[in-house]
Amino acid sequence: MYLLSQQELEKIKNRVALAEVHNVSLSVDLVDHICCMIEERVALGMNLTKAEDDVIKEMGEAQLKAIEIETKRLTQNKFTMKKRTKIIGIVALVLMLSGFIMKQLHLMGAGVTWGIGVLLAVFGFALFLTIDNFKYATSAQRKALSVIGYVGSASFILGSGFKLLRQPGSQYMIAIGGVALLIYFILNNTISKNVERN
Amino acid sequence: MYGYELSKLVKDRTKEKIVLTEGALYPLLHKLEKDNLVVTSMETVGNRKRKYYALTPTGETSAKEKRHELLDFMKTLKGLIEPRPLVSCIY
Repeated sequence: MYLLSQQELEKIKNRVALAEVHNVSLSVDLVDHICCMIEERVALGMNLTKAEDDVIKEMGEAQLKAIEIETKRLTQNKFTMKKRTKIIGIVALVLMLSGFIMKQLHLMGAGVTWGIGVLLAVFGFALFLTIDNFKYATSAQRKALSVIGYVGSASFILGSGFKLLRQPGSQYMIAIGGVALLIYFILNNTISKNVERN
Repeated sequence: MYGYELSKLVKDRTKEKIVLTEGALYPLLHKLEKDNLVVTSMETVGNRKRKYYALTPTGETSAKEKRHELLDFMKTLKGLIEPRPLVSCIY
């Protein structure tokens, strides 16, 4: 069977590059697909220039770009929070806000309300969110990241909770939480960039 | 199997009634790859690279399930469109 020459191949590669297909893996597929289409036409007796023109008409720049956009849309992480996690989060937030306001107004039960809110946020909302994220993650890196994120947010929220209740050791928890969250955001950014590049 | 081969196979098997376009094929293959249902291997053909797609063990199980679901659905539809004549017993 007829195979395209290096020069013809470069022409097709340039065409795919012109369409701004940044996904390397996808561009390998597309270049090979276009080459196969041209080669099949040539094998059936069509003139090479005519075959190239036909295929280019069929798979223009807009079409190639649309394929990349659709690929990106399908492979993107579309994590959505579960309903129970959302409800627990809202309840925790309401309790924490109420506790905080009550504390400022020196009302009775402020500490208890704030404490329950903090515990619910850490061992309810954040924990469920991490479990869902962990199950959803496809790579070991993402799974590890969700655990780091939980450790960071849990330490930070608990530390803040203890700080308001003037408990000892709260500053250390806030510091640990802050560092873990910083690591989380840096790693998250790095992993996302690597995924985009691939 | 590589992308073009796959689209050609569908076209041939369905006598050109179903045409798997590149716009539908590649995004889906990449999605399956991301979900660990297919794996890819790269080979050099002539002067270019070609990606071959193959089902993973999870992909094979999932494909079997989907095939079974589809056949079951087709059977249900057939029963709906072409109902068996009711056998009435008259004593």
